[in-house]
Amino acid sequence: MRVRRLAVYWAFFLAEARIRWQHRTAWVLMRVSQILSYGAAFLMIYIMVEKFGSIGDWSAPEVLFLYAVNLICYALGGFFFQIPSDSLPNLVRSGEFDLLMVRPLTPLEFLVFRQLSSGYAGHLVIAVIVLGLSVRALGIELGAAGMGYLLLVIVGGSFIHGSMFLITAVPTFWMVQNQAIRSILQYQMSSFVRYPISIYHRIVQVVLTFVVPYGFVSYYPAQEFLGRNEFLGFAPIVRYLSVPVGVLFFFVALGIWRWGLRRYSGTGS
Amino acid sequence: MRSAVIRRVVATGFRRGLAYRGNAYLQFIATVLNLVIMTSIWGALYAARGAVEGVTYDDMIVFAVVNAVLMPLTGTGVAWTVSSRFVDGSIADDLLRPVSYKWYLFFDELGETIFDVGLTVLLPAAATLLIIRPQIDIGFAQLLLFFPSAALGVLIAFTLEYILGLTSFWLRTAFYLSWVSGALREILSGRFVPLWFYPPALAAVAMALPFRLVAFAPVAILIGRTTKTDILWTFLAQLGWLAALLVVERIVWRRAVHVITIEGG
Repeated sequence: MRVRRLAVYWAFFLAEARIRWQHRTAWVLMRVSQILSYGAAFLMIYIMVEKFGSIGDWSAPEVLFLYAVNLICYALGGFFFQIPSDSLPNLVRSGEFDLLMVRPLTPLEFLVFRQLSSGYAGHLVIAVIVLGLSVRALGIELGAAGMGYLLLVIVGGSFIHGSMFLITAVPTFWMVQNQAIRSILQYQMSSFVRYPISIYHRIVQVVLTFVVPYGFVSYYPAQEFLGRNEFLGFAPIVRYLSVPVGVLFFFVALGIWRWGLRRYSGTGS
Repeated sequence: MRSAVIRRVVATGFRRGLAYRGNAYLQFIATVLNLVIMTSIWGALYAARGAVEGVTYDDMIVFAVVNAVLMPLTGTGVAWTVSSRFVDGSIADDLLRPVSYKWYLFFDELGETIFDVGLTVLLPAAATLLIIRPQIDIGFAQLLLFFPSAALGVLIAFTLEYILGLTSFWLRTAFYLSWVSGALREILSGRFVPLWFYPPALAAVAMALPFRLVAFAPVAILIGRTTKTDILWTFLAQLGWLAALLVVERIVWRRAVHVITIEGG
């Protein structure tokens, strides 16, 4: 029943918010630290590209635009999927996960809405600020349509990042922990797309387009916003494909999740 | 600490690294990816340019590679280790050992790091240099001076992290630590973007602080971008800061142990 589900999600959200509020000093400290950390990264890239004038023909504000959009999408993906991804190993080991499989919500739904991550508020704050600053510096006039399209692009990118959280969770059904895999697939590979992927070797470009589609989070849609035409030899339509690719990739991720789930429940512990 | 004890501790750390070698494979991949990004960035920045502030593309490649090698040696998880042991009280056990906790930690980390570096970083670093073949002249003197400077840098990094770990003890939580120290290092250490490219105001701030002395200064000596007088100044600054930090560390440590002893952790 749709309505009851929504009520359940809301109840979870309130419960979590109450707990966070009790530890608000630590929470704020953590958010501030993350804002400082990402702020530092943005600053260094700005300094570097400004010193050289441009990187691969992209100006400093343009590069920051890329990075900011990517960070927003990562934060939104994490908002929904980070806790399921990180808590899975413990739940599996303790046997609690088996209990989830007999509840009225699917295990995934339960994990996602049981606890939305409040840990990305800092990321969002700094990323939105930098995005705003870079848009202003570039003199881009978004207007209502532009803003709407930007939001759509962000939704698509969030699906991609959320999918990666989901995919990297699956190995923990049979492995102890996935920290390193997560770090590589989600942090390192994602940091490739902080910069225009035209600066990389062809292999990297292909991987970021067809294998782990981070390219569609910021680089390809940026072509539209920044009035550029670098499609890396692919059809120009790639600049509009953030949402389709995001949704498609999410279905791929769901498939992988279900496959992992089936394998897990099939073996029976 | 006696040398036999030191050897044992280092060996244990090394063996621990060996036990977690699954981790090492992934760290290898991480290093490769990092080097790909670094070399692509500098390649793109220098695409149509010669030297910027007197620094060439070849200089930057060597700079980036050597920094990648120094990374595991200087970006320790010590702060986290120390603080978590204070927070959960297990520091009490460590204090009962017959050896100095700090040096035990240092050599233990060193052991694990030797394994890390040997397996995961030197190979990609060497491969990068072989593939790109940067044209650079490294005199024997520079090579010779690099190692002691780098060693001092490692000690400074460790002490900084150690102090950071101890201070978390007061705030009873440690998660924010790695973010804060990361942010400071990002801006003030000059290991991603070298100090030569900094705007004057920021460069002045960075020069006044010890972070640049960890990796940037030694590597700058290595690639020959430091004048003879400046090399002298670098060593003096490193020794001076190390001494100062050790004093601070002693004070903070006494305070932390005092509180633990009184409150019982």
